[in-house]
Amino acid sequence: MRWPCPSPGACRPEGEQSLAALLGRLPLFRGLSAEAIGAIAALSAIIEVPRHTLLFGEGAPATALHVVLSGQIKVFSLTSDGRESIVEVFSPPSFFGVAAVLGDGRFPVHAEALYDATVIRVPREAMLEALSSQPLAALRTVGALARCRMALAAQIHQLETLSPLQRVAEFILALPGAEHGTVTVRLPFNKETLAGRLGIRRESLSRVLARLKPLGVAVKGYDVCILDVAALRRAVRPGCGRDCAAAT
Amino acid sequence: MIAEALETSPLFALLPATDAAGFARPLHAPAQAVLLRRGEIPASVLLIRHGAVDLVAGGPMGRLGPGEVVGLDALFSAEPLAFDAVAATPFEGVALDGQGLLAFLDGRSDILHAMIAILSGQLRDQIRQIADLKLHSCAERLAGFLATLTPAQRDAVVTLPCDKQRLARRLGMEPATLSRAFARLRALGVHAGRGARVVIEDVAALRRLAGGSES
Repeated sequence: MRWPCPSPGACRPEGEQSLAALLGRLPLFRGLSAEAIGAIAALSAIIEVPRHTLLFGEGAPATALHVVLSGQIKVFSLTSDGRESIVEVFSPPSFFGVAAVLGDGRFPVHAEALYDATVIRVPREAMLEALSSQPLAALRTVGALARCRMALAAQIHQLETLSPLQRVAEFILALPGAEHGTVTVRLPFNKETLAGRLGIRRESLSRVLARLKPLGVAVKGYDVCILDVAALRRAVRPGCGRDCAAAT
Repeated sequence: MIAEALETSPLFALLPATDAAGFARPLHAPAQAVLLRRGEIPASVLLIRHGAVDLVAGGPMGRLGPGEVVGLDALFSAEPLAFDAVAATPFEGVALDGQGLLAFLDGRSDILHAMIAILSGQLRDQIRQIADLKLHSCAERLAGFLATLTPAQRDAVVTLPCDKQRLARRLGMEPATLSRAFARLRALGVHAGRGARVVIEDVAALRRLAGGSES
């Protein structure tokens, strides 16, 4: 799901050639001939998605996969009474929609820009053409889908086995920079979205953050100060002793 | 044994057993064995027949069980594994040699396209499961399940169709969480003892909770 890119700002292409270069860095298209990637780029387009704009709705025809260049896209489902369940939040550099495009052709969820976003839209026809003409594209697609499946399996496992406190702590410990010692890391989105992403209610998140304070976690706005990363790991992971902390 | 194991995986059931025999071998490993290493493109792809495999990257990321495949994503994407795959229990399964598998699939776009269709369907199911897990609390999921056991609207006595450990797994929660969910439903007049018998004083209230109208 992740692909290398120096920074979100550096991802903005200036023409079709740089669009091809961006697509060529996706694990999905890695190793494909320049001609094949150029053909995909020629059919693709960059679109701006203002904050809170619906990119696609659940059940809509899956006409394109999307690559996030900047901003964030929230993928979610809604109940009939309007409750929202956030499946994932995609940030640069990531892509989504492959399974819907190549599966039954309908998006199973809604997608909306959480913040102003820039997205590459790769149409279904470009994907199908690549799959039929480039055997390597089929191999890479299986790899990309298998990776998505692992990521979702991990999320399901966490939802089924970890308490809300453990889920919040694990999310914080997985943020860039949360490696060792005393650190301040930054939440990638607001607390309401965080609660939705972790499958807990907003008011429960406040209670969990209060319970994390004695474990050395202080949250102010988007900033999270962890007094001792290793101590937090030991506190929230049963059986994670000194060896576990050292190994990480 | 290899042919039977391949049949347990929708993806590998696509491989003709006679061909797979050329690049697949049985694999047994003790609990705690590191089966695949983070940062490497695996030499083999593993199919779990019995046991469980933990995915570990700094901390625990997830656990896979029988029928699941490990390492395929890294091998086919030519990207290093993002986690260690560690046997959580004694491991019994099949190791498919990576180069042998790639050589066999070279020119077999029919199988690759079938794999894409299967994975796409599996992803759709996972997305639904995640949405459901996040929308409904454990107590709501238990309430919904209990309500399916009776057509009654008011009071009822129902019998659980399986033991509580299996019920917990079926509802996607730990046994301890199931106990807490039962405790929470006590306030709604649900009384469960040690056995399979559950007394429900107000089935309609359970249905309302399962629908998410209460929190």
